[in-house]
Amino acid sequence: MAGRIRIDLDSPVPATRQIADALRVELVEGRLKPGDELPSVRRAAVDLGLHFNTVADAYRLLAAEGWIDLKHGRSARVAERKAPPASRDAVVGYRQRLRALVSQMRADGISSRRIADELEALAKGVLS
Amino acid sequence: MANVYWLLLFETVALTDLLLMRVRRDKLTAMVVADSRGISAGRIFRAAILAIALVGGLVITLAPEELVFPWLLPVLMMVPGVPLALFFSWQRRAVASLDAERTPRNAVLDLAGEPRPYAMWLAALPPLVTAGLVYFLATEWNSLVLRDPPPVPAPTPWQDPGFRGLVSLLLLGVVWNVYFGILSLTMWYGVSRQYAFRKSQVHVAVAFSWSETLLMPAVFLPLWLRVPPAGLLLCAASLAVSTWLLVEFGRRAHRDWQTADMPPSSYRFYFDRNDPSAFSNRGTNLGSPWNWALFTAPALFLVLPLLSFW
Repeated sequence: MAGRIRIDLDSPVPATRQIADALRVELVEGRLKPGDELPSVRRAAVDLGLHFNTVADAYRLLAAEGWIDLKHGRSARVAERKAPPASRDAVVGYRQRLRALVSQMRADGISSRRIADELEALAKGVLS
Repeated sequence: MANVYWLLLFETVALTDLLLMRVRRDKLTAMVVADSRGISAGRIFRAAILAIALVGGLVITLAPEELVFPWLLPVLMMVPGVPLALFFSWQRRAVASLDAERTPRNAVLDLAGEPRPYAMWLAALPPLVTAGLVYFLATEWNSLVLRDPPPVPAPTPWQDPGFRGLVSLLLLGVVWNVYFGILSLTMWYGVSRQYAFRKSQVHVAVAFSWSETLLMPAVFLPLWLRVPPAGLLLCAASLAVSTWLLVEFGRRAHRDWQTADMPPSSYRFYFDRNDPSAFSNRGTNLGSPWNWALFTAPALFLVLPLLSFW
């Protein structure tokens, strides 16, 4: 059953990115399944208090990644998607982002053991 | 009689200016406004507008109709603009910078769908019911027994002042139907789903629309026509149902309005074209097309006097 996503409109991260990231989490962790209907762009914009284009951009981003189907005149639906084989460049890019994040976590006093546990749990999809 | 319309028009325009004191500054507001409540400029402005509304109203009431329009009314309509201009010039000086106050901006999107309430379709029917009644009256007017028949029967009902007066009053109900129809759409499509009160607002809008539709004929038909006892009973039943709708759904809406999930600042106004919400926890968004429709619908009342010239 689809849940709800929360975004912080005061965050320096753009709202489009936050929406796309939050929806991707729902998709990857299986709470949104192929065939499920997403809220319409207008509905989501009113609920979030954002411009229609902000939500539409997030949906387009996910559509470009193959997560959702966007067809004119009907609601966005979750598409069947097979994960593409990870390229070496992509792995290097994610490693850099993870390194920055892990450094920030350690700087905030979170132990290496705890960070490893959290990452392992996230990778296995056992955190919600 | 026309003076009443001019009076209402003038008072509406004059007193609407008081709402401008409620407009808050916003990062996208073209006209930056400071909080004016509880300060002397705000009090002076309010007193000036109320004085203009009172004196202007008296002048319109007492002046002969041919003087009111088209001579006196346009002049009187411009008078509230003077304190308004002074007030805004004060506001511009009072606002130190364009930095709008920051409000907590967390937003939640429920990914589950939501079916449109069937009750919303009922909002489309009241204008049709009234149109049907007007059509019936127009076709049967000559066979109906009037309380105050004209000395010389008019060739068509539309040339009969009595018929036009009755239809004008019924059309007042249609304006309310339009208003409540727009209100129900605004509440459903223009308000975030995190506010549970929106469903009861849709219901109350539809119920009030039907209440108006039942009320107007129930009150005015017996005043214009000699209605047989069965018709009077029907009017009484219509009046009772209308009152029940008003009281019951008003009570439910009031109960839901008291719950904690209503926007805490719905009495405030802001202008943000990037925010599609008509109402949110920031207040009432004057940049939303839903609110443009909602706030201009009562202007249809101003069209009704034209019916008497028609």
